[in-house]
Amino acid sequence: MRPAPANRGRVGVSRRTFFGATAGVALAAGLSRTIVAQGGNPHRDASPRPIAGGVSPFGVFIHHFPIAAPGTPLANISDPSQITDFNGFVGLNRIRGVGAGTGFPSLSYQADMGFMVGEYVAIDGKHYNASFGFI
Amino acid sequence: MFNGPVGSNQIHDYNPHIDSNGVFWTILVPNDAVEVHLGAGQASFRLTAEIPDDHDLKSSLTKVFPAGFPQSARVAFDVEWRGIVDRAHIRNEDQQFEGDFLQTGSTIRWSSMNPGGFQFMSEGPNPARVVNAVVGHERNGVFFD
Repeated sequence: MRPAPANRGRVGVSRRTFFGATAGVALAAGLSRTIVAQGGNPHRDASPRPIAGGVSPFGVFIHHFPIAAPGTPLANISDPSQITDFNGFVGLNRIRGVGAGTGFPSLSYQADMGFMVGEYVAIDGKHYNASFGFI
Repeated sequence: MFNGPVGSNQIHDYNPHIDSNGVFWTILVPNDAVEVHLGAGQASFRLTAEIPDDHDLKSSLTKVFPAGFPQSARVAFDVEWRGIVDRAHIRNEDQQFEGDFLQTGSTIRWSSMNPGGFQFMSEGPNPARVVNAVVGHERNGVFFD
C-alpha cells in the first residue's frame, strides 16, 4: 500500500474499508491476515468509483467496456479502466483457451483480466495510491 | 469455463462480483501482484484469491443462480502482456479519458479449485490464444482536463 504524498493531504487505503464493500471476496495468504489486523476507520471509505459508461449484457447495465474486438483500431478503444477519477497504469485483455478439469478432459474458457495501478479519488473524496485487479 | 466452445454450456464463472458502488469485478490487490514496464510494452498480474464461482455469466449478472451456486473457489493466475503490436495516444471526450496505450500480445496460465472437489488447470501460456490486449497509462474522471 502506498500512501499518496503527504503534502497533498492524502491518506493510505484501508484494505478493510475497501473489502468491507466487496462482499464475498478475500484474498488468499498474507493479505487477508493483514485485513484482519488493521484497525480501519469507519468514517472513511476508500472504495473507488466506477467508470460512468458501460454496456448491458442480458439487460443488466455494468460499468465496464469489454476489450475491443480484434481489428478495431487501437485509437478507437473504450476506456480500459474499471474505476474513474484515476491516474495511473492500466491493462486489459481477453484470452480464449483450453484446459482440463475434474471429470472433463477438455474444457474451454474465456478470461477477461486487467489491472489499475496508481492514484484515484475514493468515495470519501480523498486521494489514494493502490493496485486493483480486474478478474 | 465451458463444456464446449466458448459461449455454449457454461459450467463455471469466476469473478469477484460487482461492488456495492458499481465497480465491476475489481478488487484491491497487493502492490506486488502487478508489475508494469510500459516502455517495454510489458506487464504482469499474478494472484491467488478466493473468489465466487457463479456458474455462468447470466446468473452472475442477474443474481439468479442455479442450485449450489455461488460457491467460494480458489483461483490462481499468471497473466502477462508482452510484445508491442501498435501504439496510440488517445483522448476520448465522450468517455473522459486520455492516455498513451499499447496494443500487445498476452498470455495466461490459471487454475481453479472448488469446494466440491472440482479442479481445473489451463493449458500453458499460449500467445496464439489472445483475442486482444492493451496496456497504457491514462487519466480519467477528475484527472481528465
